[in-house]
Amino acid sequence: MLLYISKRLAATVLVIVAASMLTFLILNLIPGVTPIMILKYAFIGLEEVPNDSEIATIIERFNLNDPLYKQYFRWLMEVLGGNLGTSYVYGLPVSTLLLSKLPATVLLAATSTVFSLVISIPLGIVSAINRNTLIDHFCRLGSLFFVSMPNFWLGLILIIIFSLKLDLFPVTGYGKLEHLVLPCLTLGSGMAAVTTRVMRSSMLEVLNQDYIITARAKGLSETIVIFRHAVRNALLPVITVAGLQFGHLLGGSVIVETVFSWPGVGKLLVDSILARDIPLIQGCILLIATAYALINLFVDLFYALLDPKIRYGRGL
Amino acid sequence: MHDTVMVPKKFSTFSLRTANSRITALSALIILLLVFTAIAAPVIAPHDPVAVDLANKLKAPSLNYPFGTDHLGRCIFSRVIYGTRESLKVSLIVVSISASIGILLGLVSGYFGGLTDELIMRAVDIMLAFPSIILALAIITALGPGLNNVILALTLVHWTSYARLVRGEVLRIKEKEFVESARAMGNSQLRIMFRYILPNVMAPVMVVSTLDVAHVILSASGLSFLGLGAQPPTPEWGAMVNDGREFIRTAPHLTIFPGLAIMITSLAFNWLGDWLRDALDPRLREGRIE
Repeated sequence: MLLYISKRLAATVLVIVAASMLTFLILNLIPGVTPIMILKYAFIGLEEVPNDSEIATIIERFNLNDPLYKQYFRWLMEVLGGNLGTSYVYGLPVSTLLLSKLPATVLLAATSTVFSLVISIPLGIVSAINRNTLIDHFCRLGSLFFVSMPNFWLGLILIIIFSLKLDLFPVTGYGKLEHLVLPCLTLGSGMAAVTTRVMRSSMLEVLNQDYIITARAKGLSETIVIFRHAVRNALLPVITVAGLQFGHLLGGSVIVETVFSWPGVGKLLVDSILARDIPLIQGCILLIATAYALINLFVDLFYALLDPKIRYGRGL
Repeated sequence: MHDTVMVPKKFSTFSLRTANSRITALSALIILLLVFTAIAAPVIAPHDPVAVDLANKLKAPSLNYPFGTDHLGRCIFSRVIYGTRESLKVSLIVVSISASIGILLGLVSGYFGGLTDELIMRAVDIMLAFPSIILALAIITALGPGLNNVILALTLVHWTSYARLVRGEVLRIKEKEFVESARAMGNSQLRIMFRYILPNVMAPVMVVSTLDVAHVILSASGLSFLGLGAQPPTPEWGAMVNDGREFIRTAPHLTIFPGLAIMITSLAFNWLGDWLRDALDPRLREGRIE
């Protein structure tokens, strides 16, 4: 187990380092763009056309003529020291901005994940127990619908129905419970569509196992067989998928955060991309990739803890 | 944005199959209809999709304008019809190129193993270290907004799942007897890879790429919705939904119709992919989560 954990940890660190390289590279691929961006956003204004001497000054001041690997290491050292740079647009440290937006994102991701599990686990169980009945078809059809629905559109439709027509929830905003309902519904239902399918198939798989037949043969009631024996074992893949979805949400709620003007990391990223605020973009992407890698790590370790086959088996 | 998740279908029985096959026929019909719409858009569309007519702006659906008009008085019905072209173009290009790259790298990786395999698979791991939309966003940031850059970004993101899938299949198939005998008969490596192994990995690739079309349509329209994809006045569904946001109080039809088009299209491909999985590839039914 210790070997597995240390291997997995090393892999995570590697992935994060690689992610940082990729982030840095992607945003520095186009030569000449960075100094103009810095100039426009931090010094002369968007409408102005920078002249050559201004560009030269910026290149000098930010050492932009150094080879990329040097710039990368300089950036990496700064990042490791906790300095993610200063946003061109806000003029504030990137780390401060990220920290101020993180709680909203975590709150939305966590509530959506919980909501999706509360919906999908019972639906998956009901669907599996009533396999091939009308209920089952209905569940599967519904989940396919929600998987196919663009979440920005679902969000807007919910706004039209619940905010504009029924006047039950505010359109946008942050800070009260009522603001959380629609974004959470939007994200959660899409996730639930996936986890319902996973729960259903996992349940079907478990229900076919020998120990379920044994449990039934012992004369245990169907309720006990289902809930004590089947559901507990069927939950494992669902927890894994939900964990990965949660990791996705830490950065992947980009679109839904934008729809609801939710003040999270996703919206910050989109705003910074539209403004070409390079340090802020790098910070957001680095934060999201790190969070994603860590969540993946936790999911894997959690899985290993529960499944001895992985613990002793195939290393990574 | 949801990633393709493959769910076990081990226990689907005959009755479910027949119910499914009706739906499958429907989804195939929808896809044919979409392709036809894309090709015949100039004939079907009642109005010019980009013609501005401010006198007729934000009109509710009527006989002349079946889906109403937008904030510039453009016919939404015609724009949705022309939007079929953009969506199908983007998804078909992305899926075919990323599948080709993924298949090729997966074949090489699985067949030769060793250092090549190690390098390719580590590259895949790194790509998968990001949520896919974040990676696409980063690439678009570097390239600038636009539908062509969306195509490039999504292609760069999507090849990984094919590479993984094909590599796994190749590892399994290359131990089979028919490959052994092909080798014993003195076939070249290339011939074994492309004539003997490749045809046997195509079934799961077909399944994944059909589901992937749905996924790409959602991603591309999402990026356009954020203003990073299709630029005005291109009639693209995601961009149209974004246009409608401002007028959602007074004219929700701006938002509703293009979104419906996205949903129906992606639903049709998801359905078809689901059915293909059952029909073509029994192994995939045993549950695999990407």
